[in-house]
Amino acid sequence: MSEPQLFPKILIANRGEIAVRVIKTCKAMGIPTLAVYSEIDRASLHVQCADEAALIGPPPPLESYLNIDKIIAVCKERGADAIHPGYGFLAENPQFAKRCEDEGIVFIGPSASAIELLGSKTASRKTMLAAGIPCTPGFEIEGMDLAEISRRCEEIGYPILIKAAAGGGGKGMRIVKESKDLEKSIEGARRESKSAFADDTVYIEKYIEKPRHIEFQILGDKFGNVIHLCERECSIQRRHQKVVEETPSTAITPEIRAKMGQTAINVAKASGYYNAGTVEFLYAGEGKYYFLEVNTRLQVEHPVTEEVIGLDLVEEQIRIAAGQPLRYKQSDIVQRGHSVEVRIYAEDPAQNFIPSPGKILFMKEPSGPGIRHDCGVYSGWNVPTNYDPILSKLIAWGPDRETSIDRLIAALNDFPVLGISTTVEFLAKVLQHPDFRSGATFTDFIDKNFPGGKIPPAVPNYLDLALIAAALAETAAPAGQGGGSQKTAVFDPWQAVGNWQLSS
Amino acid sequence: MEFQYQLDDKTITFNSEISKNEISADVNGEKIHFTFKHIDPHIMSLMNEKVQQRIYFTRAKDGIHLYIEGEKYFLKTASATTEFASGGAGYAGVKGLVASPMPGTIIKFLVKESDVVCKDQGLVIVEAMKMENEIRSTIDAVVKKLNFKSGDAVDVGQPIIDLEEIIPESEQS
Repeated sequence: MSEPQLFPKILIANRGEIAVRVIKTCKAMGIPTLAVYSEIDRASLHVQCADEAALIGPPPPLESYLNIDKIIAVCKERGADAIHPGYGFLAENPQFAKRCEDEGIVFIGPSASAIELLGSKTASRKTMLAAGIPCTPGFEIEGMDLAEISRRCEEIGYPILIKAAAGGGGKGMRIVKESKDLEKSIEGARRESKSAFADDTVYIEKYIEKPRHIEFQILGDKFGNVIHLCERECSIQRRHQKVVEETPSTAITPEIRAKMGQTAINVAKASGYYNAGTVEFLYAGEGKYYFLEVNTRLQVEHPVTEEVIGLDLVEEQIRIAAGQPLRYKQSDIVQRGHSVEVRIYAEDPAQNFIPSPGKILFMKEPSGPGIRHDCGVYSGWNVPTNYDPILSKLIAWGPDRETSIDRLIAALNDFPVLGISTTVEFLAKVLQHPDFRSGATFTDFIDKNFPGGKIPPAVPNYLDLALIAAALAETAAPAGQGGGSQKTAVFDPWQAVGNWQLSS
Repeated sequence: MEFQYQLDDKTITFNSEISKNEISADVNGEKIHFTFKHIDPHIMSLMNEKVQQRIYFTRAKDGIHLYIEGEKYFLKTASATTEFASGGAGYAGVKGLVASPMPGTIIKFLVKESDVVCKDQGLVIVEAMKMENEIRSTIDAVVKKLNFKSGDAVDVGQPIIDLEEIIPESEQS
């Protein structure tokens, strides 16, 4: 590297795949890394990848990865002067960002005040409305009579959605398609809300049928320059968790992209935002979009943007945090090809996605043209129960959407993870579904096509081979490293299983 | 040599002859033949005039995990221990056995000793990976013994509650 080190040491306040991914960029930039780990993560991959590591507490997140005092103390003891928070954990915690600011530690992310403002849906909506950013049309109905409510609903346009203010999960929610159903729907929603949350306050929003979630990556420096790096579409979800992400979106044209991109920049400027962030929109079709919220962190799905734009977002984050101005103008940002990402979870889709912790007896990562795997685990790693079950992200790039999907499917079909259940096989089926191929990806995709995580019963294509391979595995295992006179070693099953411990 | 494996609830038996680097077998009425090569402890390559097939595998306590062209198989060996069918629905799979389908922590018991419970009644809540699972009874029974207390860690298959089935008088022999 020809430039001086931007920071003497960066502490990565996270674990798993994102910690590994951040460390890799730091290595490329020649910046020493300090990993932190809980007692159960001593052998984890992010610890093995770092230049040094510090134990920060017992397994529970509150006592380790969320322990602000401990992390700040370790940061100062070990001479790190910057912290990358990853995603989740403390990444969007304004107290943590403020604490870093107070202690003279550079928080690699936006300002604490931006995190605080944008962390509140009501405060950010207020800010955006004042800045002329289109938000989902809606209003609070308290104190209004039915005539006024009805008039306002006509203004927004049916269908409208009645929502409970005190809670979610679908309770106290009613879709109203025609004005004649308005009164009784409000009454019904109020009754349900009262019984679920002991509060019958409801409000009204425009109901967007078949919405698409389209988000824009933004990058801002500390000098007020902001650019967008185009969009990502995250339209296959399950229980509001993103399952498949891709860019570019099949739903928008270059004109709509330019408009929404500019809106995203305006959102960033209206909130004094710098570093990396994501502006989420609800896209209703025909060029109509509404601001949803800002994610004030690097997101899980950032790699698809990196693949089509050709930038390393973590590197840009570090440069911005070090006080450098943005290296790119908006006109430098060009999308090339198509990229799609799936998240690999330690879950069993056939059992309603129940978590599947335990020892990974064997795994082999996929590779090939246009394949990127951001992985946080390895063969032999014991996936703990204490944390989010994400194992890795598998990303494919191709010159067009078809190719990127073909490559991702091929990679998913050559990705053995034995010993625990993962979503690998389920994802291969999702990507092969004709609705996905055609771009008909709406938020109800999984519920509609794979209810309860059920994959259509597969005819096992390789049962005969599996049977004889099993016979070979049991009787004709390879010779051990010690050589010797035995042509075939006795294969000890307990070796394969490893350290089995019954919890007390 | 005769081999027997269980795939889900099907038992499959077949005969096979294995030499230093060849295997012949009679599976599902078809005779198949391959030469084989062990690549490493978890990878083997099977080959004949028509096909080359790489197979990933690993042995576990009660069976063999295999992965072939994107398909997973778990072939249980004859000496397999009791399978617990519990899943996301949280049902104990074996009559009278109340166990967790995954390692976790007991959040709370919904019953106490000497309670009478009926089929589908919730017995205990276990937490793992930030998710809670309610384990329910599959039989009408009396709670004989709670083997753990709130906050204890449990492993897969460990009996959490001992139940004694209530058999209606009309069915008693």
